[in-house]
Amino acid sequence: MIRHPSVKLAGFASVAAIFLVGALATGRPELVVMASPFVVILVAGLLTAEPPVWTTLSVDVERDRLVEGEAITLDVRIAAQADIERVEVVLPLPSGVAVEDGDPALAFHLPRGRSRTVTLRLRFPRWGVFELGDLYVRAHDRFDLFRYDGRLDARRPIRVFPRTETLRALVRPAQTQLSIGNQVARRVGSGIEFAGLRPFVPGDVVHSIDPKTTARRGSPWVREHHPERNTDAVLFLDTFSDVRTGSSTTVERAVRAAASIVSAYLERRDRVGLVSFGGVLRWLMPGMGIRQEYRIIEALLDTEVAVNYAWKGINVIPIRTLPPKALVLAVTPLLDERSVGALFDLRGRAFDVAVIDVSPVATEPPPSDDPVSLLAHRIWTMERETLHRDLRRVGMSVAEWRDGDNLQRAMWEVEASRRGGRLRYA
Amino acid sequence: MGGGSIKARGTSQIRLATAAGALALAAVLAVVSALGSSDRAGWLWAFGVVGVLATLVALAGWAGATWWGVVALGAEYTVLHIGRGAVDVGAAFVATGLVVLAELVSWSLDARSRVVNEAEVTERRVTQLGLLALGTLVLGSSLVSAGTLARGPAFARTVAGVVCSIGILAVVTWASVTQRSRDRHPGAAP
Repeated sequence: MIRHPSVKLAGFASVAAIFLVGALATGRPELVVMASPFVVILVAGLLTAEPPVWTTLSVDVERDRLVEGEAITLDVRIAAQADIERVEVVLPLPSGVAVEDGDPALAFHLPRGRSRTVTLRLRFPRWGVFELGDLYVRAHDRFDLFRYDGRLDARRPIRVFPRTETLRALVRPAQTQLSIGNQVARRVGSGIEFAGLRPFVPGDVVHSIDPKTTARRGSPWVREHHPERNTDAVLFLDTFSDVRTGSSTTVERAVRAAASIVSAYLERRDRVGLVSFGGVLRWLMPGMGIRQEYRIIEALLDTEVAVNYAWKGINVIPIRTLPPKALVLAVTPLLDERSVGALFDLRGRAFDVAVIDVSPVATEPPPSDDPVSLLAHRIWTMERETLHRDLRRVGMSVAEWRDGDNLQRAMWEVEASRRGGRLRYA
Repeated sequence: MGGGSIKARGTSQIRLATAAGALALAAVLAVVSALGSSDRAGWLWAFGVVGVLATLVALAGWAGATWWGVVALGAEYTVLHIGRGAVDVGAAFVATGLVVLAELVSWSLDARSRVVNEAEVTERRVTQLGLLALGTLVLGSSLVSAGTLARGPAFARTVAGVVCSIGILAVVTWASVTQRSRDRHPGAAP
């Protein structure tokens, strides 16, 4: 504890001294009468002042991992050996945390030997890593002549995971990998999914002969199947820019979408990697399983927009992060030229690229009484439509995902345009 | 929303009430003394105005002005009584007023903090203020009575000298205690 004399101490001493010196100089007893209470308070305060001894001082957090939108309870417990006239407990909270119940800065009287618990209910409306600050405790003595300041290290990271959306269908990669998975491969091999029938040729296994067709045709025919394989999906997260579109920003929505997509792909036993392409480049090699899911989500929690004016292309991305035949699923607001250029480069290198445009276009149109804003809005949306067309022209499938829309709808739109694209480019 | 937003439950009302009380008290002390004499009205009004203005400045946020206000109002009462015979019980009331004034200003400044006080804290502070006022009145009256019994300025000077000595001793004690506390707990956390 650090003891600080309060403003009152110096003030009372000064007033008492001035009055007493005045009394001596003028010989007026009124000044002595006026000085006496100040002197008495000073003496009493100095004699009774002693630093508090905390018998209990702790901060307990209900849990440190939660999903965005959830609330947790935080208990500050405090007790002292002696009676303390006024205790101030201040817990600085990180921005973005909503206090549902309780006061993070509270003053109360603490009787001797009695424990006091200050309970706070905190809600975390946004994903991220939130660090609680130190707990500041200030005790005032009975005459408020001294203040005793203390600090408890209550720093503790609270990880708030993004809220994920259940996706019933995902974007199917153009090519599958060799390992077994849940994705039906386009090629023919041993599997469950029926592919077709063909005449028997020497070397075919006998149990693949289809008896009905063989009987009908009079010569042996065999059934062919599609094998079930896994895929590689690389999530390309654009963090160059962030735009608020109503209740949330494009980066917030992009991270939510990324978390949903990662969970869905990993449930299908696919390998998933991450490239966070922005002011700071971060990546995770493709992997599978629950550990990879946590690894990616932990990486997503640290996502933030770092301002950087250096030109970046895909040459800065480690080559092993983008395995051959991988589906590159870009989640981007398509605002920064560098990320758009990287998408064209990836497609130019024959990667299978699909784009979910986290639309920065506000759901509310600009006010109709402002013709310049209306015109600018129209030009901007036209430019974005042109960009979508350019991306589709080089073989990328694009779907716009507006604030408030269902992510599944965007995924279906991407998948639908990919089917159409394959037919066209076949 | 956010860590910066803290619900201010009644804090502004307490701040305003204490500030209004302090200002009213300063005005009463200034006016009552100023109206006590017509031949020294200029001096009395000057001290009174300085006292009220200093209180106002203190309530605006500069705590140091509190003590100037207290001293000016005390000086106003003393100027009123210079050369007018023995001390009367009015001095005890003025002393009480000055202590209460200092406490109210201090409370008002404390209430500017974003820390929310529980109702119990406010109730205890009100009680303490009442007891303090009562104690000051009793102490002041006792001193006035003692001064009247002694019937002469010599006794007052003696009392002042003794109190000065006690005050100096108290300051020295405080300084040594503070130093010892710092030596014992150099920036220690609880």
